Amino acid sequence: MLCVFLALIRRDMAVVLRNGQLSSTLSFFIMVVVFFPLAIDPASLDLAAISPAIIWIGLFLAAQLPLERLLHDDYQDGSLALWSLTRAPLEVIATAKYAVAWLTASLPMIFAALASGMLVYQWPMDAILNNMLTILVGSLLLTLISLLTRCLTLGSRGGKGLIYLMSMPLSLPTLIFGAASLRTHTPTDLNTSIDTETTTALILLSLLLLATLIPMLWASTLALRNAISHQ
Amino acid sequence: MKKKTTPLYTHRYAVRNLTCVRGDTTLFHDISFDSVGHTCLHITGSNGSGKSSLLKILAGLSSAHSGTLCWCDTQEAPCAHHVLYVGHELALNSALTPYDNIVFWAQARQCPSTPDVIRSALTAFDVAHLEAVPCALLSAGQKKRTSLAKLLIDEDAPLWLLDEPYANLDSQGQKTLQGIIENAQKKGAIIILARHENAPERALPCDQTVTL
Amino acid sequence: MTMPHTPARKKTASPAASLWHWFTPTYFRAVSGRVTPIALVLLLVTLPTGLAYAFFLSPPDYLQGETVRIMYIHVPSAWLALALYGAIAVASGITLTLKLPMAGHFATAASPVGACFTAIALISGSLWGKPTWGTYWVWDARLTSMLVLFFFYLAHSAMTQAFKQQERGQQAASILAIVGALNLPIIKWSVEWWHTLHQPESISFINPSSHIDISMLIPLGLMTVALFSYATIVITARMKLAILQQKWQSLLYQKTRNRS
Repeated sequence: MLCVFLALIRRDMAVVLRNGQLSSTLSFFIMVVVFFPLAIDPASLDLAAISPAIIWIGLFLAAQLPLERLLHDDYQDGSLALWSLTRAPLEVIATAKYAVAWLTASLPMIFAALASGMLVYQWPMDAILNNMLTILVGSLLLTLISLLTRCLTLGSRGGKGLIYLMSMPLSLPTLIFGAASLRTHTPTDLNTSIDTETTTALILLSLLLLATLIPMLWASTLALRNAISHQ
Repeated sequence: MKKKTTPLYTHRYAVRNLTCVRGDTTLFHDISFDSVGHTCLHITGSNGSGKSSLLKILAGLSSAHSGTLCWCDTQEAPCAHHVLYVGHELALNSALTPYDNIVFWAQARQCPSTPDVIRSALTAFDVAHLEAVPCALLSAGQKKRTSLAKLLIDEDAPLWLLDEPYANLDSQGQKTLQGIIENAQKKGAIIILARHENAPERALPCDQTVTL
Repeated sequence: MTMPHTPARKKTASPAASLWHWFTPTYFRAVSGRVTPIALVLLLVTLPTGLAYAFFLSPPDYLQGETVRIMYIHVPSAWLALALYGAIAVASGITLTLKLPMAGHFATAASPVGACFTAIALISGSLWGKPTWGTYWVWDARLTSMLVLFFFYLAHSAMTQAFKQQERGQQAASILAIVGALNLPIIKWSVEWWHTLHQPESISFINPSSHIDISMLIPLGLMTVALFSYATIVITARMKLAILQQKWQSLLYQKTRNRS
């Protein structure tokens, strides 16, 4: 089972690298994050205050990209059906897809998000660990939601609009807790409570991941099974 | 020299009263047959009669509306890794080379995936010279050959399900495939293939025919 | 359970199989033939009386004045929207576990109706909000989760239409409906939490200390019955239509097969 899991991860990594998806997802994210301030008058607005929204919208949009090729292509050419005819149960295949999507899209984006947060939006240096953990947990959740919506829409004629229509409401708690736990300002004497607030939000975000990881993977597997049996 | 005897125990696949319904439409109704190792069964029928659907049900990829599948002594479809299925979709990733596609397939099936094994499988189907070309650039026939090379990776699988295996294949390829199928049959596999009534697959060994 | 194989459904009579017979289109036609006239009578009785009560006979609120009459549309619509989503979630569970075809048809038929009533609740709510709190929209937990419910409804009904095979669309939509039903409380709670963190608005929808007078409860009850019976009529009609469409499709399909 582990063999199959690792083989699938190796194969999908190879596919992603050959397709050049790694750089396209990353550059999409950087483009969103960097172009936002250009459309806003930076002098009139506290950019750091709206930076969580920008970062999370960027992460959300970019998290939808990797599984499009990874799942959809494999479904169309019958690979998914064949992979389901191995010793590994479908759960393992869904988890492998999840892992590859996160590794190839979200992992690089964590660093890009941190870098752009600090360079473009002047996030405080000492909050780097908190912000990194937040984006790490949040991106795991966003990729999970993307996995489910992609599995549900395999072989559909609904198009991209349907995917965003589904994943946006599902991502709402992640976006809220994620935005609340990013630390964008150095705490001043006036708002010393900001540290406890962001920590609470981070804990809630992590709890959300722990609570939804298994059910969402299970639901994705169910969707995958339905998709394969109706191919 | 010891005379080779056929083993007492062979694989059996008993299919009873299989009915396939898509939406409100019955594709086929009450299909029953028994198949044992060393035999080749042909499923024939016109376009749209449900040959591919039947093969997918036999592979356990989709479920029938009613009826039972009994693989050997169980009351269900065969274990996934017993099934060697080659459908119309070739399951080749267009970004990867034929070599990589076959390697990853071998790893997923937990079969030996050394370069020698992979190369000999590709050589058998005469696509070894293309091993470094991405599949997107191959012709339809070359893709089909690459896809069929998967059969050689897991030759010991006891149930072969082939959906119109001769599609897009030239006479040389057909000859190779015929050799492989006969070989697998000798080894004790059950071979079930789908074809239309007058398809060139008629040339393949045929012990039993099921018409939809 | 872990293998991707579902053994073919056996012909033996399991409890699910006998249930399956009960929920066949024929049985549904018999039941709907009885339910629809009852719902129609209820609608014809309650809607005029309810509207008359709501607009003329009930007194204006001592705080909100005449605008309180929006409540008689707003509150039943919101209840109906929530109840329908609950029913869809239950039907989705049945679709996934027992595979009763009528459950899938119900979910497919109900979700556009639910979407309409969610939209009515949202629009009437914001029209009510303007004179009452001075703004059309606040990012309050209740409003936000109603909006999210609207999106779930849209996604669900888009999902049922998104596949060539109706069955596949219904299965995918039922997974979405269940995930959405589990997610809605989390969403509501997270927005509430977010709100307490930032801008504790002092808007309460219905002051818990104030009790509703009987003169307001009567039209509220009448309108609720009216809307629920309307939804019953529309959903049964849509389900009947879905069954007929499926029949038509299979006839067409058989025709193409006979020609070849």
